[in-house]
Amino acid sequence: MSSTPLLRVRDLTVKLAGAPTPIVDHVSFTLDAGETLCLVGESGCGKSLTALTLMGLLSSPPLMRTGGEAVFDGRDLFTLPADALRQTRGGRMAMIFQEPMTSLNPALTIGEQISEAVRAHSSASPREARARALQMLQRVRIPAAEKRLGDYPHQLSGGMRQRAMIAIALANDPRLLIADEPTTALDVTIQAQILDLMRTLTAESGASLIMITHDLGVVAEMADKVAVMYAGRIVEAGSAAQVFDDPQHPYTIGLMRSMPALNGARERLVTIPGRVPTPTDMPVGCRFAARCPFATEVCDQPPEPIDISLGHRVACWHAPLEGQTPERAPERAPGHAPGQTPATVAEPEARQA
Amino acid sequence: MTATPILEARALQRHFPISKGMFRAPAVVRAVDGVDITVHEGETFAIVGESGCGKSTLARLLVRLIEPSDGEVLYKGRDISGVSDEDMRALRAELQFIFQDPFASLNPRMSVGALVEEPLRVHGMGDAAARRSKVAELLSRVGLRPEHADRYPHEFSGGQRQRIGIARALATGPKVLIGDEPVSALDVSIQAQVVNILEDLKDALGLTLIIIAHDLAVIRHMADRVAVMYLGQVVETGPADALFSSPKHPYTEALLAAIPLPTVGARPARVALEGDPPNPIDPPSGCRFHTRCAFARDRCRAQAPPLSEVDPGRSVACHFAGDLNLRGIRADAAPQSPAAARRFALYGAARAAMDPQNNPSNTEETPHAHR
Repeated sequence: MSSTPLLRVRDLTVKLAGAPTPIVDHVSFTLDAGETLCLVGESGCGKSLTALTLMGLLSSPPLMRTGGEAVFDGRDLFTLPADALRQTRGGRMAMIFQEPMTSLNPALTIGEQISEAVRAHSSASPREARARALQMLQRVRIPAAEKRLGDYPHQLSGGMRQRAMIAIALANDPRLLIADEPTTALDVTIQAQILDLMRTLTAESGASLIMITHDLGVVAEMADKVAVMYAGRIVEAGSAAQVFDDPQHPYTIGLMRSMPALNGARERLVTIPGRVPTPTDMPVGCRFAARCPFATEVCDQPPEPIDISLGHRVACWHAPLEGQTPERAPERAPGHAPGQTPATVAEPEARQA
Repeated sequence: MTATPILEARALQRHFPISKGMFRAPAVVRAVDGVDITVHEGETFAIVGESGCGKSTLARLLVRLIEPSDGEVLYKGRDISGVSDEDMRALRAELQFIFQDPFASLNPRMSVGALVEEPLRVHGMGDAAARRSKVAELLSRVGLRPEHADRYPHEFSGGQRQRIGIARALATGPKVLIGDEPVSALDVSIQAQVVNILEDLKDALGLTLIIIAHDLAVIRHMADRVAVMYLGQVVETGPADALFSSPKHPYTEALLAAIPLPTVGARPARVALEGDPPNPIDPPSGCRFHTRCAFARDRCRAQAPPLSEVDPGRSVACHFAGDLNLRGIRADAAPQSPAAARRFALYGAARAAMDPQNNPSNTEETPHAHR
């Protein structure tokens, strides 16, 4: 890994007009060349907004970037002149979206759309651009690529459309690919194909990948690094192994526990109570506190991120959770009677820990 | 298992004619093409498959929301495909449906109270006062508050709307609840709440659940028995444990292998399924899966395999079901690290202490402030 990262995002903050608190709040991360970072979280956590802001695609107003920088290839994307930004977007960095049918132009053939992307960023002749388009369709393993060049998006299946999107995004050999829920609309067997394809192509070209997803399975399969987002903030970040094998933030743990197990352990799902606060009534302190079984008074203050180990950072007053007695939790939750029966899943050994 | 099944489909078919243009012969989509399934009272039965496999059509056929082209549906041994509209209306009180999209399936002009009361009114159950108290009871059953009855659907989140949909489905005291992707549109943490509610209700009310889903983890968690569909037909059916741990149909194996497991480094050597499912207008000859099957031989191209019993309670539609050694998801497929297991236990303990009734699923989501 080189000493300067490919992308360094620092304190990225986005506000929604009319809402007092930011909906993307001081988001920071770095990404090295060839790395895959997964931004994971539920609807409204700010993961897609983070990506759109990086691409300069924020619909403003009502959304405004109010702070932060994103240094890509040594230059801050947010201070780049319009010309340079246009060259960077779709060139050195590219994005693919969840629903290829809405991001492809229905009136142009696949071949035309790839050629268009190529010619926007180079002096390629129409013939050269078309050759590149064919080459790209072959690289994304679209069968009978020559014939498919002349197809319109509606003639392709969902999986093929997403391949075509990837072909457009990779046509200019970007250093950074941002993929926003690229497989969420696809069936599981097609998802597996697309994930394999993205892994192969980024490995071949050495491009970095920021993958936005709500699916922890996809994260575990794709990520080198993970950032778990909740209500606009990164609550936990680390290598995939650190986050999955040593989860620290109560939200991360709750999210993992909410997932039904595939190995046949059919115990009752342990849930996260309540739901995400709306942008207009964000708490000042820890934004997860109202749903958190470990929350105490200190959680009314914004938590200072702490480093659990090298590269593993968590924004929770109570991390590490060992030594936090669960019995303490009800005291601060108004309306909840303390002294309830301890959990069925708690093992004595774990409770002493 | 000797008792009469509560719901049964026999050689059920539904074909949709589609026009291919003015000068071409109309084609037929064989959405459901000869399906036999048996659902026993009190079980959770899941129907799984990918887009276009006909699972939603099958679900609607089972409650006669659409009419079959051929075949029969038996409810408690009685064929309901021919009953009069009036009799069917009475039967609908016992067969209720939960839709996938809680945004599209609730009338935005009706208050939640009116929405939940509507089935009671339609079926002439109780007077106004009795209905009102029934509505309050139903709302609290799904973890909402009685005062939510005066609010409108737009004031609620997706998870809450799905609870409203469930309350509505429960109003008439059904015996069978059919959910078409009931939790697919929800975030993971909300999905878990709704899954728990469905399971609690099933236990409390003695319901039979039929769940249509594409999410295999949800099915693994909820289902007692599973039917896997491919291009309008059931290719494998059996107890969930057996089907997930040792699939007998190559398509089931491929589905299971495609699931991304939430454990770093757990990715199995994939049984990659090439290409897309074929067009149901023109399904392949013989076994419909042969175009994507790694084990296909000449016989598969020529002759369609019938769904036949290979083990007690397990049926597979594959000529070579007995010869194949297929891989499922093993119990140790996604091991937990000791640290993760410890945190999960801590979280579970703290979480349980948080709930007064020790009943996590019924914890209300706070309602939207109405702006």
